[in-house]
Amino acid sequence: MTISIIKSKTGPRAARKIFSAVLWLALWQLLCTAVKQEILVVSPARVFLRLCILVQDAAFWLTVSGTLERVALGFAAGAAIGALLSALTAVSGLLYDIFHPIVEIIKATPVASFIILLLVWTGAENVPAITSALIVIPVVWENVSEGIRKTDAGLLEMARVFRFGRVKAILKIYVPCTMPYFTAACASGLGFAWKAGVAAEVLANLPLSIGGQIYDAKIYLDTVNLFAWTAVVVIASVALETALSKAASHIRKKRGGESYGNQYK
Amino acid sequence: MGISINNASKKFGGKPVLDGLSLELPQNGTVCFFGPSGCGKTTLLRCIAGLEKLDAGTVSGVKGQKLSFLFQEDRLLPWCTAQENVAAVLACGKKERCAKAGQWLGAVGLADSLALYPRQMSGGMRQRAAAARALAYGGDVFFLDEPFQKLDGENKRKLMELFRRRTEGKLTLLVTHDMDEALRLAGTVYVLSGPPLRIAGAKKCGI
Repeated sequence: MTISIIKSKTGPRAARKIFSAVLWLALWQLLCTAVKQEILVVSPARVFLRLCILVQDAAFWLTVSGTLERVALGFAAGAAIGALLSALTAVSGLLYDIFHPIVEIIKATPVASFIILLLVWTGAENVPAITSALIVIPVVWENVSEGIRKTDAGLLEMARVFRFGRVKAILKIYVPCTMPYFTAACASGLGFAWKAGVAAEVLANLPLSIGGQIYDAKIYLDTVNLFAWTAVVVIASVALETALSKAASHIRKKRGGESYGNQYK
Repeated sequence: MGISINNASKKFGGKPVLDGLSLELPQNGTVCFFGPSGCGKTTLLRCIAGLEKLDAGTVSGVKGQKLSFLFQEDRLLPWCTAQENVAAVLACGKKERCAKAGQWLGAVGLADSLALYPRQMSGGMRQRAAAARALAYGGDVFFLDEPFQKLDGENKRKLMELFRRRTEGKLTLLVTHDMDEALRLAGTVYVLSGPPLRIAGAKKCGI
């Protein structure tokens, strides 16, 4: 009985999501009506119309794919370096002491400082990818290190008894045990990579980039364009995050759908 | 030469579980450690196998031996099927590994469950899959830590027979608090009390 009451109160998930979206769009519209200055707040309808116009232009797709390529490259490099670093620092205390301060510095340094330094050191074209990578590295490093620390002690002992050897233990135990931590880090890291990558594009004012478009919108006080391109970033980020999480869930289901944890510690 | 335990001591959280224990184990046959839960049987087994470091004393005669262990928990890889779990401990080629794993799983009554993941199996099925892994791996010394506790009578008898045949001419150390198991399998039964673990009595069963 209690369950049916709760169900009727909350409603199906899709309906709740639609309700939430409509609520926020309505609030946005209310704000826009209250402010009455398009230069400050643009109506959702205007942004939607601008998006409809933008997507018909071939340059839009070139711009989006250019940013996507840079962010994806930076994200992939960051995820790979972060995972490798976590593996290295897990096996060697010396390597941990060497890399830990660097990762902490990367974490604490403002993104803008990185971007400006990288603009000085490298060409503007490379800055978004490197910035994205630098943002992703600490996230992946911390999460995967946590996963390695929490690897099932009972399974590791079993591997020791049955003489798995290092490679087999890594492939059969460490990788599956740390995979949920890695995918969680990738899911949050992807959002950070987008934000950092686009911020770098803005400061580097790259041609054929979403950041470049946002920069132009700022220069020309084109708030409609600013909102429209920001919406593109949000949509692309959510789409990529969803795709990543679906791929991870598919792999997990294929491998028995097991929730990995330390069962025997 | 068998296994010698000399003045073995082990503490957990300041409490002695093993306190100067000395024991000689034969080169082959089944030795059973029988005693109530919590008396330190598993700790003794783990110390002999080298899975726990002794605070003092020595265990000799284990180094270099191939050990097979059936833990109290199944310790199956959750992301591998029953067949993959058994095949994982085998060192031969992939085809042979799969075939052998299938054979041993069949022997423990899991021929129809090769493709099942641990979470799709019952506790008893997982225990049998773990037993198949220990049997398939083989070894010079078998460590069986309450191996049949989750099994029904029929499966228990089947598994006991499999282990009896597989461990012939080898040393098997069996931990149990089931006297029936102890008497059926063991040549020597040590009745233990503790902690700290003490040998309260020994019985030769003549198996």
